[in-house]
Amino acid sequence: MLNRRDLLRGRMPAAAKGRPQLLFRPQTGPAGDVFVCVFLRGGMDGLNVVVPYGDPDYYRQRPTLGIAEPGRRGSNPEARAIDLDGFFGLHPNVKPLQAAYQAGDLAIVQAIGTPDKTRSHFEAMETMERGVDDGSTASTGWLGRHLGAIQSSNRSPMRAIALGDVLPQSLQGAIGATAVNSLDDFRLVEPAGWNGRFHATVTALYGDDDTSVGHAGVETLGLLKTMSSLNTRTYAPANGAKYPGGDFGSGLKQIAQLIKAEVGLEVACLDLGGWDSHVGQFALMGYLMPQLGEGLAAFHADLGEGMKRVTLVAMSEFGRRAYENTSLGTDHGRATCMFVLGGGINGGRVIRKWPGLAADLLEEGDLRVTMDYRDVLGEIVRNRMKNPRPETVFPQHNFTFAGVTRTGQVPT
Amino acid sequence: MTSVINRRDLLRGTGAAAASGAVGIALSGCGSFTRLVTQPAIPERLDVQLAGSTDPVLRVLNRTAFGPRPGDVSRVRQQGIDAYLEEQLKPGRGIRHGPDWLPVTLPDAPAVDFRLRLLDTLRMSEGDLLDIPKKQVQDELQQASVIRAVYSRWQLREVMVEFWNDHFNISQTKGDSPFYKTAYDADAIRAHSLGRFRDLLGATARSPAMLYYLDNARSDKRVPNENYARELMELHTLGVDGGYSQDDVVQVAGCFTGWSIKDRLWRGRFEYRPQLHKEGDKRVLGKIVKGRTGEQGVREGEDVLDLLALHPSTAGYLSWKLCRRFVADEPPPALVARVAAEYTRSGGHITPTLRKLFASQEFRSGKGAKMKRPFDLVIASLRALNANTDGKGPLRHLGRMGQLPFQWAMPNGYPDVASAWSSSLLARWNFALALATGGIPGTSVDLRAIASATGVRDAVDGPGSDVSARRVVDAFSSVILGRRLEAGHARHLAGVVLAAKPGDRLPQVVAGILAAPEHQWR
Repeated sequence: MLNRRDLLRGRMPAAAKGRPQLLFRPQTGPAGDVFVCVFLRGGMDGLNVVVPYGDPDYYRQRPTLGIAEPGRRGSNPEARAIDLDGFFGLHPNVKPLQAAYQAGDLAIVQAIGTPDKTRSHFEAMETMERGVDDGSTASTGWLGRHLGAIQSSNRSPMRAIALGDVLPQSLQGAIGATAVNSLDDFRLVEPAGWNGRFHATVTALYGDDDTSVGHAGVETLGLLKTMSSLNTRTYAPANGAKYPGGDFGSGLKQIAQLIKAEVGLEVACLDLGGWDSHVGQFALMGYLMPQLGEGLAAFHADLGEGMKRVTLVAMSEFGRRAYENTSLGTDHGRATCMFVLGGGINGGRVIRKWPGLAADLLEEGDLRVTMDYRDVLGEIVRNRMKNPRPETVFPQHNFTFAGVTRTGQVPT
Repeated sequence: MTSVINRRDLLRGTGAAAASGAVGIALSGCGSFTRLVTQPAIPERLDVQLAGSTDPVLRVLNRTAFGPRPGDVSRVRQQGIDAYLEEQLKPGRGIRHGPDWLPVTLPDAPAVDFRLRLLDTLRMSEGDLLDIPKKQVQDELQQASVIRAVYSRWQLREVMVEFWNDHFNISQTKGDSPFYKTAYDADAIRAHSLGRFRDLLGATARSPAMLYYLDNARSDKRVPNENYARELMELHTLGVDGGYSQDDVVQVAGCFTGWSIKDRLWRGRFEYRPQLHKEGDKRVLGKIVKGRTGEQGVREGEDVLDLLALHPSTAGYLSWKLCRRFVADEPPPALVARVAAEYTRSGGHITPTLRKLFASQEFRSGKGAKMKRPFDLVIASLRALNANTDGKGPLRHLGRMGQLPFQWAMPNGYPDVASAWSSSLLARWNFALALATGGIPGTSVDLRAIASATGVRDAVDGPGSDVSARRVVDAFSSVILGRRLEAGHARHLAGVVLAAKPGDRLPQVVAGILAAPEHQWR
């Protein structure tokens, strides 16, 4: 039986060697899955990332930008969509997602969106992150409400983190949520010449203090020890996973590392921005899609069995217009697609109520929104994050769950 | 060629003032005066207080103020706790209103006034603020709250301003809120923080900030918006168990239809719009609120506020929150009852209510632990070390600790219980390190001056010994904590002093005391 003094002196029971843990708060951690929220900022063109090659109107709307269907003769095979289900295909730049899809861990939802019709980045993001019909009514975010609502004994300082400078709006209202640029930030900033004297001081002072502050101090010291052993530079992803270079890849890698370290992480938020492809879409998307595809694929491979307790959602505030513009790009639209990755997810499917791309089926030139983003998130909140009351998280919404989670096709 | 030098450049030593050397000339002539107004001096001699248990004077300064400045404990002990509290309960002459919307702040300690003058947005109306970049408006108000808490001589008022800003919370994170919040802080909160609760309630209800934040500005007779009505009863007056029903919420929402914000001419100010008002009698908490038409319709909302301000549930709820702020996370029910009775007896006046609380045995006895929230910790540390600060650098640390002023998104304000703040310890430790080592931009502490005043300069500079190290520890625990550390902690820190290079002794011991568990409690 390990006591506090042993912990402070760095003695670990043999069984736990090689993976430091917080040992006197065994219940620290989420009741349900760890939730990773990836926000694809800028309005991702869902039509070109998950290509509806089976809809002939797609090619009518996008004579230049359209991605060739899997079997098209005479076209460059590398540039063809990769078949998913006989109607939709992956853009070749996100080919790495195929593995998770085929393993049944990745579900894609098409023609999904928010009620926001302004097509303004700011308005649409606010609406989506606040989790309401109208961005101006709430000041908390949906994740903030979720973390506040569930009865939780999880007091970990790493309960909710955002990688970046500021907390995203979705986390507004969450007590103790922190924005970190890097896990390396989680350390004592002691002058080098002090040789760790300050660390020794807080260890001594908090080690024998029997108040709630003392306990919190010891827990924080344990966490510091764990974090310092997480060397982000030498971390070796499992199963040969290779994260792409850049902030997104490194952010996902750090989140994976943090999940494995079992420090009580419950929610992690991360952005991949730049999807606003008004001009020269091929180049822009050509740069972003590999990051998305390789990043998510590496995360999935790295966590391996650990994915059973993780759900990751990649969403965007809106999609692009059905038809290409004259600058080889697309302008702001409405519906787009969403990626849902996790061991508990009903994957290997593209979930949709396909509205069609013929001119008379569009809504003011946009792919019609046939599924509300809250239907997917609400189901995840209830079935994966174990919050029995998703209506407190999304107060203005009547749910129609789509069966994106494996715990069954649930009626509302 | 003389260039025009404006005051701000002169004070900051920037721009034309610096270029022309005017700063050097100006300051050399009145250098001591400038130092006098920017930085209150510490007494030449500071007694080293080594009481083990909590001194009642210390408790008063830790609870009704943001902690003692050097010399405060002796001064208040001499003055007497009752006399000190009476003085604090009637601060200066408070805030006076100039023409309609411009509050005129009467001079506080020069250190406050001097620093606040540099922040233009504090003096602007909502309408004018709408034209200023949002970030500047937000930042300056946050900066001002740090400056006032550190330097104001009216500490109880600053403590109450913080309390009411949480109670009537308006976050800067929602849309246009920052523009309204600056005026709200001055006109609604600061003006009435120690006055009649009904006046405070009325000022918040009419404030464009509240009308915007809780959506009442958009409420009209077709679909009265219930957000404000609900929070008014749940958070501002009766409390969630105060005995109101959903129907009351609907009726109250109806009373407040028409309370809105001007969008033309004097843009950003309160405006009552009779055409939006839902007419007819309303029934609230079992009483009839007579319906009025035209401009008189605004009186319905005022009637509701009258009803709520002196309701017994309001007396109980407010008293409970005040006892939680000043006495313990779980306030003793008997005390809450007595304080509530005083609230009612005084007609809902905050000052006598507080007087009753502070005179109570529960308050004076020293029982009841309260953890310092991050703002308490930062301000107490800056005060104890007589820091010279522009109020900006500490904000970064407050952000990391999770209590950046006015950034709490929900209407209920920052939590006031220890359990909410346990995840802020790492940020507190890093703040302690930064403050002690001069690592906070725009903020400095003169540790050697304190060492001189406490008579341990020789111990700091000279060769070390167990005795001299112990003297240094005692001196700085006295200054920072007002009392001695736990024996084991004091021993450990003495060892730190002994082992450190002379130049590191003071920063190391000060960082250690600021980070110590003892300092995390009020």
